[in-house]
Amino acid sequence: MVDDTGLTQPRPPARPRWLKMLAIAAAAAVVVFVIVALMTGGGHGPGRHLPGGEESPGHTPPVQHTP
Amino acid sequence: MVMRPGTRKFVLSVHLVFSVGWIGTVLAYLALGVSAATTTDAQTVRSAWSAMELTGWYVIVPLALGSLASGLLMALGTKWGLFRHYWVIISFALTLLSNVVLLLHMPTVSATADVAREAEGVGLDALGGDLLHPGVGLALLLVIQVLNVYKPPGLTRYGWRKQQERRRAS
Repeated sequence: MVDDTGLTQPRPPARPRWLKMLAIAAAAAVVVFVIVALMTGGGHGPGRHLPGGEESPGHTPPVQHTP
Repeated sequence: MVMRPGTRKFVLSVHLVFSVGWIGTVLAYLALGVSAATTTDAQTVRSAWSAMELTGWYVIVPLALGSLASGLLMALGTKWGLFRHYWVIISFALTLLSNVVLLLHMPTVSATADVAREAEGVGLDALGGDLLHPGVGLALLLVIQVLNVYKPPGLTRYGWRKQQERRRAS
């Protein structure tokens, strides 16, 4: 192996170390987010923003304006 | 197709304006969100939510979409490619994720701004601010920024295969 660009490698290069560190950090962030969501009632998630999604207590549903 | 140097510099400039502008506007949005969450003044809550709605739809969304489009152009029009380097894939995936969450979240911001314009007393106090989305969004944008500046090495299998093909052809 001469460099990390793969120019002289007979096989594909291994996944870089920084990528593994980033994956671990991302997984840790997701775990922390899930724990915090569970501890605070778990009302938040992507489904809340979709049509028919349940609103969490901290957010107010849309108001229909009438003339 | 690789862009010519003049075109590449122009697209890079546009991409930088969109991306750095996006970060700056999210910081301003976060300040409004903190203001709405911490103030006891009803007029400030109403103003903050109105400003968040306007800033979100008319500044953050266009900057985010522009950043995504110009980033895609930069990837496809330069030697970096879209699937050849891990940092490009992660950068693009996080930008796409941020755009999707932003577009899903903005109708909620508009709805809350509508409520803030008419609510009084406890109803207004219950609205609070908007800290989670801009906070997480800002963190993601900073990760993307660091990846784009440092360009950490690491070829994907596809990128390695393409390099081998080019090497054999030359």
